Amino acid sequence: MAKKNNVTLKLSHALYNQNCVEIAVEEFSKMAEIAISKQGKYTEVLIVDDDEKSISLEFANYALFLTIQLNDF
Amino acid sequence: MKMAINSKNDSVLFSVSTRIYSKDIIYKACYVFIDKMYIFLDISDKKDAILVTLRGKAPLLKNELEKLKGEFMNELLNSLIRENVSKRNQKILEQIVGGAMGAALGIQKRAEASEKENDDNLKDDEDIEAAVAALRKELDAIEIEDDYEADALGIRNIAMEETNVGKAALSPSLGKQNNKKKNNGKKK
Repeated sequence: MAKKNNVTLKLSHALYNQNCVEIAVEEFSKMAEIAISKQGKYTEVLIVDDDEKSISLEFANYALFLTIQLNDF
Repeated sequence: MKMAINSKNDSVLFSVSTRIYSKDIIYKACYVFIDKMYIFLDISDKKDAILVTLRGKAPLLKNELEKLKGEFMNELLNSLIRENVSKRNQKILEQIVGGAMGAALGIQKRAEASEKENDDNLKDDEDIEAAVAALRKELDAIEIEDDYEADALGIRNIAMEETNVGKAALSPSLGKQNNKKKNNGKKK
């Protein structure tokens, strides 16, 4: 039985737009189990990942990418 | 600037002062590198600072991680300079673009502030509308179909004639043939 690697990302509301995080969750939930919760000034994203954290890293990148695009520089 | 290299994770963590580089500048730098590496941002415990974690998509040596950070810092500086230059030149750019637009529509320069400015503005607005309507009419008149085979302007025929003239000049026999064809047409 493959050991599942749980990764928790704490994404600051000041740096990661909440809507963008939710969009990223929606997209990545097709690939992994994801749970999202708000903890004060952070959004905690729990990713149950079989792989070596690659999905969580890509998720964080994607959430940041969407946030930057929203900023529309 | 303190920097922490985590060889196990192939990552480098450092702090960026938001007094020097605004959040937008940091975002711009992240945008440049986001497809080449993993980037994670966090708010620092220190005031006015953002923690940046860069992680390679492949295993990296310590000096490669330092290089990664150096490139990121360079890009921060690059973005900052570009923003400053852009702000400084913004008014000039607006004037240039405005002038180009005005020239394209054939508008005369508006008179500097005067008592008649309102009336003149009204007249200029009417002139602008008339100029735009005239341009549209012209465009409608010269609009041709996209199908090149339709050849509405008869360009192909002109090209063919010129080609035949050129060939006749090079080949006398061809020229004779063409003349024969012409004479056959004219036979009584």
